[in-house]
Amino acid sequence: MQMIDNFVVVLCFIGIILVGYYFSKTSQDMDSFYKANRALPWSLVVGTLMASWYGGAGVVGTVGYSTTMGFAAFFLWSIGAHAVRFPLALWIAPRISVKAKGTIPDLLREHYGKFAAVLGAVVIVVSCLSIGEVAAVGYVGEGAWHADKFVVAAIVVVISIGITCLGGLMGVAVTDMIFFFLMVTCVSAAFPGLFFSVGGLEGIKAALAQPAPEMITALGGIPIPQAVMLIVLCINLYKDPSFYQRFAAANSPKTGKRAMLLCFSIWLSFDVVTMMTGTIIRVLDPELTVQPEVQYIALIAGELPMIVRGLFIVGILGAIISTLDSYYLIGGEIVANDIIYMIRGDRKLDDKTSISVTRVFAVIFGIIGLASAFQFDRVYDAFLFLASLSMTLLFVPMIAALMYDGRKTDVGGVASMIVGGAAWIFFQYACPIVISGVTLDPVLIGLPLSFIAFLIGNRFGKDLSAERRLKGI
Amino acid sequence: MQETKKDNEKDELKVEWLGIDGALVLLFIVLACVYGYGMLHSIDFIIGIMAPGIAIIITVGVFLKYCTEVFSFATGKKGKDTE
Repeated sequence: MQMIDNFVVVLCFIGIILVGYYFSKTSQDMDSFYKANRALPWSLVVGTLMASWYGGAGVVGTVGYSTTMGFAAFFLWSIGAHAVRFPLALWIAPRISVKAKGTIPDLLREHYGKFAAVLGAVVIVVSCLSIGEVAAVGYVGEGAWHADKFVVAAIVVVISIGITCLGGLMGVAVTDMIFFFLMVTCVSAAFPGLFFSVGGLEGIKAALAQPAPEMITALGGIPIPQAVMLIVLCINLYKDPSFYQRFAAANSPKTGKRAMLLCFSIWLSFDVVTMMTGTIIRVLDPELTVQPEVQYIALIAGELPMIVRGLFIVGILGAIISTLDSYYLIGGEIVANDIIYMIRGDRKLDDKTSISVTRVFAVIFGIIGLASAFQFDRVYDAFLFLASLSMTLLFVPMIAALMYDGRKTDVGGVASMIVGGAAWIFFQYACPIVISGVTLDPVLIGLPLSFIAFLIGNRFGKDLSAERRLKGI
Repeated sequence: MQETKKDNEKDELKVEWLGIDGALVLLFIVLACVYGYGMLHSIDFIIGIMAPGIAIIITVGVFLKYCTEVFSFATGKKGKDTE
């Protein structure tokens, strides 16, 4: 990185903070701060969905696992993962836009009562710490400047908190759009040069034929049952609070749906670029002597001319920032409007206090994320534990709340959450199931059990439909 | 009144398979087939040029669409202010 590149990086981030500052003047009440007045246009929803999805794990992480998975990363993770998410775009996104008046815990509360809402709120708030994203900043800092990862992460976290605190969802969405544009155009523009420098696909296949022949096959040597399992697990997006928030903030149900449908095609094309880059890194370094994520940043930065190189770093750091600020905003919103609301005996905070509490918690989330991201092992394991657990806990009750208009009771909701969570813990730690040498992911056992518990539980307890009708939900 | 609201809601939730929704689903399927074919049959143009090109074209298109919306909103507002 030359001086001019660093100048571009600093200038861009000053500009981004100013955008946040501009929107701080317009986001004075809760609806504008948390939901952007439910007025996000189609283009802005595309940009914010793209940028929030491709965080540190989405770009740098994809390159990392493609260095071992090769073409299978595209056939399994990209095509398969997006294919199972089509129902989310086609049927669930419009329903979120119509039905969602608040947050995910709010939805759980309306359908299953207070206990389900508390459980949901705790799990989502912990996952909003985004520890993995903070850790991913380290690779960028090391690859671009050989800098201390903690210092770079601290700067990125401060910018993320700044955008969250100043502009609310509209500020986050507009900065997401800028980051999305820079990230996709810079990364994609650098790719052809890199691709043809190793002799294109024939060159890649020849280079990998000896050290890793499985990387140039569609399934990468992964057994078909395991491949199916990996694809099914990609439904994790269905309970992602940032997608829920974007669909709820879209200016119409069709906007969220069509934005996501277009995102699938952009994701697919961009995945080809990032996954092929990962494969090229393996060609250049078959023994993977250097951390692939760090090498990726250095490699792409080396391909681009000055100034564009600076914009590429802004785009990559921006991808991480846009994920962090989204989750900080959601976490803060849930603390202010769900957890504190319930602690106060169902008394709402006024708009100004609610926004202030969200801002304070955005800062707290940033500090916790920063303090724990580099302590790793146990902290990161705990984070992964809760993130995986949240799938079996939230998926069935959330989808039922959005898609099923019949009888739903508090017992049904809580039972599905507890049985799903307990089944995941049991089959993850106490009794892992192995079929033909493949360990079955506990999520795949937890989800059907959670659904059965929902059906049985629905026969008991209080149906809250009448109350929802009274509230006009 | 309630029924009209429900009808509107139903209309908003409907998937237009023969409209934009269907076209966007088809676009994904076509791209997946083309990229997959290109990867397995070593067609450099598809992977080296077309994939990054399509990513850039759609991204620039979305970005320009947003810019025009902001611009028309700003000029519309200005016009209103001066009236």
